[in-house]
Amino acid sequence: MWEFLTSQMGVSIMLAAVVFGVMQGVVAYSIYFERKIAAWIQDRCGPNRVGPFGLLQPIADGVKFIFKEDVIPGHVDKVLFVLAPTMMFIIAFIGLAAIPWGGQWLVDGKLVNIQVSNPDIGLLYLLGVGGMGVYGVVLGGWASNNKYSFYGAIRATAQMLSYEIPMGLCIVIVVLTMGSLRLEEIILPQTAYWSGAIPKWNIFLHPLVFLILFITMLAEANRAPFDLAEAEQELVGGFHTEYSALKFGMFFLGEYAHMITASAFISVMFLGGWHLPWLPWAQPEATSFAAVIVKMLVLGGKIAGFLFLMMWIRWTLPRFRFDQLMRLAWLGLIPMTLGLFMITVGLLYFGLHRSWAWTCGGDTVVLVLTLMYVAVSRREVSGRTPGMNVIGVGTAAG
Amino acid sequence: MNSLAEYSVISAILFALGLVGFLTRRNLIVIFLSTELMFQGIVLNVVTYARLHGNTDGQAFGLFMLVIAAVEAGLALGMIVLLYRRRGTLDAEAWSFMHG
Amino acid sequence: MTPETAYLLYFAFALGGAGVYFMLPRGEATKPAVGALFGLGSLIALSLVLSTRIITPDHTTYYFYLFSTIAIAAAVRVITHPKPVYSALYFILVVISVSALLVLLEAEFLAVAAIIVYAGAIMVTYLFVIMLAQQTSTPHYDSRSREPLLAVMAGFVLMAAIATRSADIAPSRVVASDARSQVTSPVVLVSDGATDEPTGTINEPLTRGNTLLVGASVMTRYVVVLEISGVLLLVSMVGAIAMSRKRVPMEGYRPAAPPLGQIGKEVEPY
Repeated sequence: MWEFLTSQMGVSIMLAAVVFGVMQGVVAYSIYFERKIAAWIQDRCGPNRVGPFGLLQPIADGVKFIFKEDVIPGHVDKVLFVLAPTMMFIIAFIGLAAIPWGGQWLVDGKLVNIQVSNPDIGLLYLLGVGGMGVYGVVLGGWASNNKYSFYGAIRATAQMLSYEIPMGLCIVIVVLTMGSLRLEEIILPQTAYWSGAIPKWNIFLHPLVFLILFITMLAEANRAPFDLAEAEQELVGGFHTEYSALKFGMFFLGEYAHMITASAFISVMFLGGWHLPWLPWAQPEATSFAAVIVKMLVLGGKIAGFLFLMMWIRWTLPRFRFDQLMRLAWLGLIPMTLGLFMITVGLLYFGLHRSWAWTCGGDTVVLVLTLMYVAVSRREVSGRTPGMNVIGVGTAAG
Repeated sequence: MNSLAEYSVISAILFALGLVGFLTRRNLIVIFLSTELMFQGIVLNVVTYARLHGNTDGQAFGLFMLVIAAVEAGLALGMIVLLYRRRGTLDAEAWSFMHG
Repeated sequence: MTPETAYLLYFAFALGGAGVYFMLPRGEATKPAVGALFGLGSLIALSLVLSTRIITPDHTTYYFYLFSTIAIAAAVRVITHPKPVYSALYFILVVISVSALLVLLEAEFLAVAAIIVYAGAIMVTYLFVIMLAQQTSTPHYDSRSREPLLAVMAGFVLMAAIATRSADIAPSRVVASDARSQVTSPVVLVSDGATDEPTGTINEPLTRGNTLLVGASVMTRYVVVLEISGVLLLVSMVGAIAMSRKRVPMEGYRPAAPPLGQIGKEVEPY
């Protein structure tokens, strides 16, 4: 039994079970923390009735989701109506299979990867899973047979297709820099140090790419300020207007699971995954069980940091208008990432793709060009044109 | 280990099913879906033969076939939207003027 | 292939043809349950034929049976389902299971690329168009087929012809004796001496660096094809935009906004 448990297969199966189980709890509690953070930002108390500090609130919510009447309206396409939240939930979770959680574990004289699966194409796998994420929203919106839901679905489709392009280009830039599609091999070069002090994390090489990738991740996860698919002022509930009880809960959990997957992904690509400078257990040489646990905690901490950042952004920034959203992708992010891509290819030709000064110089050039364009461009950044028919502003201003 | 013949048989089945769909269905979108199905069969076939010969030429071809599929989808969907605007229906029969 | 297995294969295809005929939408005459029964018989006969080609079953064999069954069943539903949305979803299932078969053939890169391109991009646009054009009701042209009998006969005769020849593959040149594919890649392809002997099996997995090999092949031998496909994509983009763009009114033309009281009144842009 011990033989099997310490083989790669056994570790993978156990890790899959553990990750899936832990993620359910983490997702439930991230909803609690989102409410707490929202309350903190808005100077309120937040949930504080159920249990100490409201800590049992997620359990109460879960019980409510399960025991509420599960309404399937008469005018919906029943199969797709049930399939949509399921797809959202599953697709948000299967991305976690390729995340390297804790480096390697030396057990009985052999090294075992703390990773459910270590495919040759880990990065592309995550990209493919991310691309499938739109189906839950689209099918849910269409199957509801409701105009508001349908608008939400259409918005989500256009948004995800547009933001997949800069996301893919950002990923290609990282692949060019690292020379591998395997997630472990993307982490390992990041564990070295510049002049013995600063870790060679990709965020220092390509800060602009990191920023753009983070923006596109927000858009892919349907998070504010990109949550137009569920803009409640305009579309009631967007694609989940008709949903209730457990199916609505699955949409909810799916969204948060998507956030966690995206955070883990971006941590691996830009923040060295489980690596933390100067902590002896979080180095690639450390392969004891304690080191594995520490590495998992380090990656978990980075994920938590990203989750906090996303929640902070949600409760701070207003939502984009749809044309602004599209223009940000097509006129902002895509030209910028194309420029960065060409600069990276040029640097790769001269072998300079991992020298800090050159890559940061390239990022700076792209940033300066963008800012110059914005400064000299005659169009407003907000997209307002002189002849624009502004509805509703008259009442709001007067 | 297998002999790879069965992969080839599966690809033939997918191709022929796509052909049947292409011939019988009347919805423009389903017709183009059937051609995509034929593409899937062909990709599986070229990769099978690439595996048989132990090189990657077939996989390179498969990659180019994905490009062709994307090109076809883009143009076909553009065309379908155009035709739908003209007639308000996705029926392929709506466009058979010459048919007696 | 012995005559007995060939006849069994033909029998399988005849059953399958009957099944597809019954499942194709023909208005009231559609009998999906009968078709599914025929299809099940066809799949069983087919697996009997294929089992004669499998020398030593291992775990890939079971995966092969699983995913090919899903692929064929989903493909039949793609062409027979009366609702285009379901056709598109079943097609995604076909793509995923074909990708699994590609993984079994050690083409991981192509498998994931197919999922990204098909499931992630192409099918989303298909769904987009279907949803824009069709609401939930099934129009008459989706519940009737054109010439189902003749088309099924033609398709399944073609299928039998291709499949019978394909099932006869004798893997005579198994492992990489093809020096051209080794190009500049640092990973050496597996090659054992006995390539001339038709052993009926594929002995060694190719290599682990599948992405590297495909990349080297695409970027050296087929670089012209790569360039041409880039041009093709550009042409397609231009064509699609030119075809489907909305006719935009001239500069300065503004449709009159309906007076809605205070709401909608003209204000200075800030």
